Amino acid sequence: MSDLYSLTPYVVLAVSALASTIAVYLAVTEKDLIKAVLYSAIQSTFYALIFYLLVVPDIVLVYIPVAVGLLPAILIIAVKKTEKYEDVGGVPRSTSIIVLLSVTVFTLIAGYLLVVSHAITFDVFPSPDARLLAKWFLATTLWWNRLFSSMSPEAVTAIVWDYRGLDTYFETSVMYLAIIGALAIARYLDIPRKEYREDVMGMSIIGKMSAKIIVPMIIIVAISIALHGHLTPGGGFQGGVTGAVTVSLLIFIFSVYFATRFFKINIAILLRIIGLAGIILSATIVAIIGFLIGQPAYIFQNQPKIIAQIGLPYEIGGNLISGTLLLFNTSEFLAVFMGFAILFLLLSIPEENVLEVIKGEVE
Amino acid sequence: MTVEYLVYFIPFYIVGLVLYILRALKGPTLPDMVLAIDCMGYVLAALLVIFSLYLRSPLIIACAIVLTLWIYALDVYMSKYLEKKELGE
Amino acid sequence: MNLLNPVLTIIGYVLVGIGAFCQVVAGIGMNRFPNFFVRLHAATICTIGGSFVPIIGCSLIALSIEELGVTRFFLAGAGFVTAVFLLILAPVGSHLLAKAAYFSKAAVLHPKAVDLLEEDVERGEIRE
Repeated sequence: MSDLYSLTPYVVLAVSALASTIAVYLAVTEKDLIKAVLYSAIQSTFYALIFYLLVVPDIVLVYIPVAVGLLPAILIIAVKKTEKYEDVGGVPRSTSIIVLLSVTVFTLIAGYLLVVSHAITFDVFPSPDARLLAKWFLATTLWWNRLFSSMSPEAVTAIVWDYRGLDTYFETSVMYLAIIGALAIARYLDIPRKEYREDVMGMSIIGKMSAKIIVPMIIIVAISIALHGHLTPGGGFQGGVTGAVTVSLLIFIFSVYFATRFFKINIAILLRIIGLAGIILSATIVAIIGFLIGQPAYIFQNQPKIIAQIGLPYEIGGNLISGTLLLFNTSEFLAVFMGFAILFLLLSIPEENVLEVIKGEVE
Repeated sequence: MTVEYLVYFIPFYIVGLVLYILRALKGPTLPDMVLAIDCMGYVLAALLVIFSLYLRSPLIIACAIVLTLWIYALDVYMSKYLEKKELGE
Repeated sequence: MNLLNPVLTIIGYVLVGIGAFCQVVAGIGMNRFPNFFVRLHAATICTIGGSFVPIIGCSLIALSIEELGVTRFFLAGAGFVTAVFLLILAPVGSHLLAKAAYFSKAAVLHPKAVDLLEEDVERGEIRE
């Protein structure tokens, strides 16, 4: 009986993975695009359950806002502006049966090969041979010694921002370029100046009252997740996307003509630039100080190492701040929050204004 | 007393989850599907809190807060889509 | 505080049991009710009886475990925050969905006994 209890998480994992594959297949072959968006939301909740059972809370905190919240929002706005039904020919029934059977057969063969090669076993997950690499990473990250680690008990933030900081730099620059692309497409657009009339615009009064109660609480939770990034699962990106729900709620429940009293596009761009400058500054601050003093130092350096003897303090007055990790988390929170605010403000411009501008450019 | 007796309550939540998934796949109209996904999300949030208490780990409980907020946001998007002609208004 | 621990644990388990029962009942109800507007009753049982009450129960159980030390307050605090968000946001979500489904005619009103909202709309007391 205790065998069954220890096997239960794996059974739930397997069932969620299979169910998410079926949901993805239904999303791909569905002609009504809004139903396809809802099937993809079902797949995302199953994936959140899978990531949660594998005990990686940082990834769950990123995956749920992006896949359950922001992706359906952008797709629903896109479908509303264009058309609701896909007009391609449907998939005949025999093709779908062949596709599903081949996916199942491939999964079973791959699973059998993995079990035979001892990459996964049934008593410990994963097998002891694959754990050696993970143990090596954790030993060099969680070593409470200034010469070797970044003095933070949270392994994911320490690896993402300090041990593999250059990967995160490229990731942030990819998102930066995406927002620049969106702003470049919308360079002649702006939110039209209409007066906000309370009784006609927006949703019902119950929605507005609950938004007034809940928006400050959400912002406090988002700031807490961002500032505690070096102590608990969380960090800058997770806090930023949790704060992005407030912008979308303000735009959808009240109207965009009310939301522009708080978030104008130019102010959002300015705050985003401040956030990105903060990231670059935190990455190079030890190098600049080293250059001014005359000692060797790296970029993305956090604590003093053997051949670069200067670094940032890791605690202030008994509270742990882990050097550059706190600065990175704060700047990334500001940058991501404002990035999604820009995106939602641009997407909520009425379609007739957009068509006017595009027609003017084409002709 | 310990938290081990929580294990006997978890199957009931999983039965509820399966029944909501049935309604989400079966529902003939759009609001039916959105309501079923809504309920599925809230059951998952309760399951996440129960699991984090059973595994005695306070680090993974923040996922339940974020899930609750974003499932509500999905509701708001769908009702705005159904109700108004322009999504910004 | 030592005398309060068994009481908190027993109350917590009772609340989690109520939640489990409500989930099964709501699951059966969602599948067998004939109409979208009747399924809103089942959705209310799911969110409030089946998710809000067990999370409060889990927070009470977490407060009573003394082996965890300080971290039991983290568990209880995050649980209470989730429960407060659920209590405020879930009924608002159902209300917005029902209003949108009625006025955009996306949901059929088939086994209909009486529709008082229609009379109010025809008399002009409610816009749109």
